[in-house]
Amino acid sequence: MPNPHSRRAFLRAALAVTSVAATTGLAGCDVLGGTGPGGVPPHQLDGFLNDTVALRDLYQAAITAVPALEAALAPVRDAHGAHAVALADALGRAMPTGGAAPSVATIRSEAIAALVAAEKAGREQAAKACLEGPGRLAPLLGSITAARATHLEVVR
Amino acid sequence: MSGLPEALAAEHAAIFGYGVVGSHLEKGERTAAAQAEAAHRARRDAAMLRITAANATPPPAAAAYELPFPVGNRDSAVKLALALEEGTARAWHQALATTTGADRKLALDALTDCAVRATRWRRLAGESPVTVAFPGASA
Repeated sequence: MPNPHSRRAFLRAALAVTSVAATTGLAGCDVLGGTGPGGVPPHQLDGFLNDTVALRDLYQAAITAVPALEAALAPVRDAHGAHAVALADALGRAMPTGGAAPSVATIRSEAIAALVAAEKAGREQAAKACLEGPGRLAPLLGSITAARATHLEVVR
Repeated sequence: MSGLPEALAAEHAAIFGYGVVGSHLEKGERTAAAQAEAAHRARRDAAMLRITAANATPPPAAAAYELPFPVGNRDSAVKLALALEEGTARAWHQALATTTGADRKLALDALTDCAVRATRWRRLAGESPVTVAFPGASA
């Protein structure tokens, strides 16, 4: 009679996937030097990096315009900043300096509407980059896509 | 193909886990848990189909799973639901590196949905902030 315990798996073990698969999956997969098969050309990801910095700056501008939003929006602003740093690092680029501070309405509902629109567009842009880009960058771009989807749970 | 079997194993575990979560929640939260469980079943089925289509054998579910901590009330049930979403998010995140095309789309959609549900469970758990910068990435 089989030991019932041998048929039990550990939930924690099943859910705790080690990072080995991710790191081994990266070897020899660098297509950033060219477009590669089906790859996103590097300049497109440069644009994505710039747009990520712009998202960070849009949140900062919204916080400046409507200071009452700071508690809710600061973590999202910081997430976009962290995404930009990670992207710049992965692309081997310097962190873009960003442009002039964007103009955001001082009326709360209008500021939120602008952020929601930018976040939705950014989520679509990130998903496209994740699906069309090299496997090396897909986990990072996927995390950024998912993060932007979660921001829409907060910004409202 | 690599990455999908691991994600499927995580989905099996999450479906089991939600079976435990549901009974301890309050009414409105039970609906959210039921919807989450249905979503995980759909992702499990999609992963099984993709693995089978590639002529591989999908890993079966275990008969039972050991919970990572005791679940006996509403708060611990919410904590488990959050752990289930974070765990499946990690598995799908890892699958992104090794998949292409429709498989990568499946992994991306699954990661995104897990991250959104995790955000909602963090809110119900009273955590702040409710978002993380890199959903699915190992801490």
